[in-house]
Amino acid sequence: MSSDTGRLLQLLFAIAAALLVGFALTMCVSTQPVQAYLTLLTGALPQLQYSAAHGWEVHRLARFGAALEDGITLTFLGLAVAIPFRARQFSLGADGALFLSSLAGATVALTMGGPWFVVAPASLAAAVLTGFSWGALPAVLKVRFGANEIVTSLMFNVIAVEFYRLVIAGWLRDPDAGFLVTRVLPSSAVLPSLIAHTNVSAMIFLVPVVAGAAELFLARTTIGYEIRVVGDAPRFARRVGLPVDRAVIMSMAIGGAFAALAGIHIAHALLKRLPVDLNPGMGFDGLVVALLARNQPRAIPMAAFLYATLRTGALAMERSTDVSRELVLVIEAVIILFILAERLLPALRAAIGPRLRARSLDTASPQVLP
Amino acid sequence: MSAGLASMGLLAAALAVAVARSTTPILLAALGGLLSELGGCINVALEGLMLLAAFFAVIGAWCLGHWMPDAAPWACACAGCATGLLAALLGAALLAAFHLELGADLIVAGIAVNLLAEGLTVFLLVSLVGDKGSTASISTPALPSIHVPGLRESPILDTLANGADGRGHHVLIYVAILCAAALPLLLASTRFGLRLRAVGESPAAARNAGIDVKRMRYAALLLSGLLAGLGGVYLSLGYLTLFQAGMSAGRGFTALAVVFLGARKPLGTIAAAVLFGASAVLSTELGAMGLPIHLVAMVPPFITICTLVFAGWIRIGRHARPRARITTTTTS
Amino acid sequence: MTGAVFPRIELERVSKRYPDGTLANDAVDLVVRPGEIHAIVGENGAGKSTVMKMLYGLERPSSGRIRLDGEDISFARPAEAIAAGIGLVPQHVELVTSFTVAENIVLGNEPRRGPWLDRKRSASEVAATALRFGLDIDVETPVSRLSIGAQQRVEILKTLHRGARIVLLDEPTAVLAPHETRQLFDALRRFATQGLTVVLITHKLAEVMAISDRYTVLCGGRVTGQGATADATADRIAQLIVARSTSPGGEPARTAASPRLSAEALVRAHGLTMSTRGASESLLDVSFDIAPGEVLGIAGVDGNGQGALSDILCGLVAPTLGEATLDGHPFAGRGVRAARAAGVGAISEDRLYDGVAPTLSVADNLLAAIYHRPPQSRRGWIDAPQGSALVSRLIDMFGIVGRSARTPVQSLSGGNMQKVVMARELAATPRFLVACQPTRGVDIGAAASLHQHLRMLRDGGAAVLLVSADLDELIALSDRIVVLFRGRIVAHVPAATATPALLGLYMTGLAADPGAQGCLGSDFSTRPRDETAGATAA
Repeated sequence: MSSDTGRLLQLLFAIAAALLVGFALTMCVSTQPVQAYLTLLTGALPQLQYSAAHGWEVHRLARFGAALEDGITLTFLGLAVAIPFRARQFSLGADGALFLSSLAGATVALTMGGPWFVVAPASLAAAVLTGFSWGALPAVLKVRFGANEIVTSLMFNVIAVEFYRLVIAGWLRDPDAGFLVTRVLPSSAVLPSLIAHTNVSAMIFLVPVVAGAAELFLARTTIGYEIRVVGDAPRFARRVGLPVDRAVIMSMAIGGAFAALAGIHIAHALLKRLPVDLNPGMGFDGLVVALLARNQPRAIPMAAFLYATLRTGALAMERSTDVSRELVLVIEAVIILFILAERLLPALRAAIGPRLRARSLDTASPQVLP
Repeated sequence: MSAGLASMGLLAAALAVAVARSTTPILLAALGGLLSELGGCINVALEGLMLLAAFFAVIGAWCLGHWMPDAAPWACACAGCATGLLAALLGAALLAAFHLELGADLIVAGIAVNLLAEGLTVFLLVSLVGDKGSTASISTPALPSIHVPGLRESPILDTLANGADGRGHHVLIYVAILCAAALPLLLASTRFGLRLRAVGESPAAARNAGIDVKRMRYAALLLSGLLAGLGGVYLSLGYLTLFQAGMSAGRGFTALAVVFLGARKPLGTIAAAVLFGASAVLSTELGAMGLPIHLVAMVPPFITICTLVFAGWIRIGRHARPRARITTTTTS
Repeated sequence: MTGAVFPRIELERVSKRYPDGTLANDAVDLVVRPGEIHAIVGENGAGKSTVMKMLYGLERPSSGRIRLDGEDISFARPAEAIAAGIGLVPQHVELVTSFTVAENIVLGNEPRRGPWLDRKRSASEVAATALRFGLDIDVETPVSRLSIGAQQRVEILKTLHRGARIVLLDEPTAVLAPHETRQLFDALRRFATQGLTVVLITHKLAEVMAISDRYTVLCGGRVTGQGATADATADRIAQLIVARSTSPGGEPARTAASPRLSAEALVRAHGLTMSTRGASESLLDVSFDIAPGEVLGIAGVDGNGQGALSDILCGLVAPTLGEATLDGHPFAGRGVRAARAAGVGAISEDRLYDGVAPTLSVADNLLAAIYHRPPQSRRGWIDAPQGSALVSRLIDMFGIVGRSARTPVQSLSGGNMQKVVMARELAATPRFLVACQPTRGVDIGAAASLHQHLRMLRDGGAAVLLVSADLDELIALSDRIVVLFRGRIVAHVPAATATPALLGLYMTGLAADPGAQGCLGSDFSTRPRDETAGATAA
C-alpha cells in the first residue's frame, strides 16, 4: 500500500468516523436526526425541479451561491494558514491580517476617486501589502526574540480587530446608516455578481488561479523551496545553508497576503461595505481547511468548498430542524483529529491482519548500530 | 492626611481584589499548562478545556436542580463543578489519547480540541437550552463565597479579605491560591513531582529508572485538564452564573503565554499570571476612565507581546541564539 | 578466578537480527565469570552494544540463550534487568541535569516520609553507597555543575545503589581525561574485589590490557577471539579486532598514488580552537593544509574533536580562535552560505537529521545545495526542466536506486540515501569537501561507489577532508592521516605506511606526538618504538 493510498484511506476513514460521531450527537438531541443530517449534507446544493408549466427550474440558488461565496473566502483563508504551516510555523494570525487588509482596501476605495481600473487595483495592492507586512510581524518577533508565534499571532489578531473597530467607529462610519458600518464602497471597487441573487463574483475564477499559484510558488520558486525544506527538516536546512530565518518570515508574510485576498473578497464582493462587528474567528475556519487539505495548496479549494458545503448545509439544517449549525465544528474537529493520527493506519493494519513487507536491505558487514 | 491614606489604601485593596478575581482563571489554567509543559507535553487546548468545563458545570448544576428540586443551591453548584471538571478531564484524555496512542501532533491536536470544544458547547447550548448566546434563560447557582468574619474594624483588611462588596471571595479563588502554593511543593518535594520533571527533561533517564514515561505524560495532560477545568468552572459558577458562548475569551491562550513567560518555574508562572490579571484589570479601569474602548482592549495583548519579546531578549543575552519555546515540535 | 558453580553471564549462540535486516550478532558465545572484569572489544559496529542491550533488556535475542548464574533469562525491559542485579552505565550520560546527584540516583525508587520525598534519607543512603564503593561524589550538587567524569561516576553510583551485582559499562573512557580514567580503573578494581562483576564494552586496547581479566573480541557480529588478558598481547587482540579485511592480502587496499596537483595548499587551517563550556568536544590549536588533489584523513575516537572540526569547516559554527582559508579566501565562522559560496561542501555525520530532508523527494534533496544558483534558478524562479535533467543525471551517475525521483528520500536504503547526500554535495562542484563518516551504515556495494566518487572528486583537483571511524577506509583513501585525541592533533602519518594498529595507538592515547600538525611542510610522526604497548592508559 503506497503512502498516498494510505493517506487517502485515512482521510476517508476520518470523514466517515466524524460523520458517524456527528450523527450520534444529532440523534441525542434531535427529534428528526435523519432529516437533519440529510439537510446538513445536501442543504447547500441547488434544487432542480421540473414542472410541466415552467420546465426545468433551479431553486435555492441563493443558498448555493452562499456556499460558493463561502468556499471562495475559505480558499484564501486556507492558503493563509497552509503556507506558514508548511514551514512549520503555527501562525494563527490570518484573522488580524484579514481585518487590517480589508480595512486598508476599503479605505483606499472610499477615499480614492477614479475608474475601476485605477481604484480596484489600488485597493487590492493596499490590502495585499497590509496583509503581507502584518503577517510578517509575529515572524520577525520569533526570529529575533524567540517569541512563540502561536501566542503572538493571536495577540496581534486582537490588536488588529480592535484597531479595525476603532477606525470604523471613529473615522469611516457612514453617518446615514443605522448601525456602525462604513459607507457603501463605490461601484468602481465593487465586484459584480455573476449569478443572480448571489454575490458570487469573478473571484471564483481566482480560486483555481490562486491555489495553482500557491502550488507553483511552493514547487517552483526558491523561496517556496526554502519554506518546504525548513518545514520538513530545519536542522538539515541550516546545515545546507538555507536562509532559515528569511524562509520563516516569508512564509508568514505570504500567509498574510492570502488573508488579504480573503479580506478583499469579503469587503468588495460580499458585503460591499465593512461593518464594525465583522465576525472575528474566520481565521480558524481557514485553519480547518488547511488541516483538511494537509497544507497542500492544490487540495485547498476542494477542502474549502467541502467545508463551505457543510457549513451552508448546517445553516439550512439549523433553519429547518432543531439542530444547531455548530455541529459542523464538531465534525470538522473529529476529522482533523483522525487525520492527525499518524499511527492510526498501522494500528488498524495490525488489528486487521499483519502483512510483512520486504524492503531492500543493506547487507551488513559491519553495520554501525544504534 | 490619614483619611487620604485610608482611602488610597481602600482603593489599593479594591484593586488588589479585582486583580485576584481576574487572575484566578488564568492562574489555574496556567498552573495546568506548567504541569504538562514540565512533563514534556505542551497543552495548547487549555482554552477549549476551560470552555468545556464552564459549559458542563452550568449544565450539571442545572440538571441536579431540575431532577432534585429540593437540593440546596450549593449542592447543585458542587454537582456542576464535578460535571465541569469531568468534561475537562475527558477533553484532556481525548487529546492525550490521540497524541500518545495514535501519534497525533500535540499542538495541532490541541488546536483541534479547541475547535471541538467551541463547536460542542454552542451546539449543546442550543439543543439543551434553546438559546444560542448564553444560558441566561435558566437560573444556575454559583459556588459559595467564603466570608472572613471579624474584620469590620479594619476596612482595608476587610476589603482585602472580603471584597469591596463585603461578601467574601469565591471559593475557587482560595482554591487557586492553594494550588499556587501547593504546586511548587508538589513539584519539588513529592515523588510525583520528581518523576514528572524527569520525564519532561530527560525521558531516557526516566525510562532507565523504570518510570513509565507514557503514563506520566497521561498524568501530566489530565492534571492540566483538571486545573484548566477549575478555571473554567470559576467562569460560569463564579461571579457570573451562566455560560456564554466563547466564555473563555482567550484566557486559555493567555495562560499559555504565562507558561512561556514563567520560564518553567512555578514562581515565574504565578508572577506572570498576576501580571496578565492585572493588565486585564488595567484595561477595564482605563475603559472606565473614558478612554476609547478599542484602544483599551488593545492593552492586554500588547502587554503580552512586549513581555514575550522582553523575555526573549533577555534570553538572547545569555545564550547564542534563542530557542522557540515549543517543546514537542521544535522549529529551527 | 573464584571457582563458582555457574558463570555469571553466559551467552550461548546468541544472534540478533534487527527488523530492517541488519545482523548485529551472529552466534555469539560469551562467558563472564563471577568477580571478574571482562572486556568486550571491537570496532564501532562490531556488535558490542547489541550484546549489552540484550543483557539489559533493551533488546531481545533473535535466537540463542542468555543465562544468568545458570538460569535462562529473557528481559523485556530494563526494569527487569535492574531487578536481576544488572546495572548499565551508558556511554552518554542519561541524567536529569537539573536534579542533584541524590535525586538522580533515587529516581524510580525514592524514599518517602508520608507523601513527601525524604531528602535527608536519600542523601544519606546515596552517600553511604558512595562511601562503600569508594566513589568520591558530593550527593547534593546539581548534576549540571559536574564534570563529565563526575557525571559518569554518578551513573556508576546509580547502578550500585540499585543493588547491581553486575555492572555493564559502555565505552566508559570515551569522554574521560587521563586522571579520571585512572580513578575509574581504581574504582573498577575495587568493585571486583568486593565481589561485583564488571563487563566493559570498549574499543580501546589500552583499557583492555590495563584493566580486564578476560576479554572477548567481536568483529562483524561474530566472536573472533577470547581468553585471559594476561595471556594475550595488544598486537594479537588488535589483529582479532580487524579480522575482516577488505583485500585478500590482509592489508587495507591502497589507492593509486593520488595526483597531488600542486605543492601549494588549497585549504589551510590554522590554529583552529573551539572551547565549549562543559562539553566534551573541543579543539585546541588544530592546523593542517590540504593540497589540491589530496585527501587528508582524520582518525580519532568519536568525541575527540571531529564533530567540532567539521562543524567549523562547514560554516555552521564559528571557531573560538583560528582561521581556515580556501584558495586564500577565509571561510570559517561566516555562515554556511558563505562557506558554500567559497566552494566548501560537507557531508554530515548524522545522515537522518542533518543530511537529508526525510519526507521531501529525492529530487528536492538532490538540489538542496545548488537550487539558488543558475542554471537551477534565476531571480528566484526554479527552472524545472534543468532541475529534472540534473536530477536524472545525478541518479544515473551515482546509481541511486529508488522508485522514482519523486519518492520521499526516507524510503531509500541507507546506502542510497548516502548516495543522494554525496550527489547533492558533488553537484555543487565543491573545491573542498568535508566528508564525515561517508560510508557509515552503508552496504559494501554503495560504499565502493561512494569511494569511487570521492576519488574522482579528488582527481579533479579538489581537496578532501575525510573523517572516518573506519580505519580501513581512511587508510585506503587518504594520502596523509592526522589523529585527533582530546581535541589535539597527536600524530601526522603518511597513509602509505599507516596501519590500523598504529593509528589505534594514537587514537587511544597510548602514543602521542605532541606538536604534530597536519601541514604540508610538517614532519611526520616517528613510529612509537613499542607498538605492542601494554602500558596503562596515559
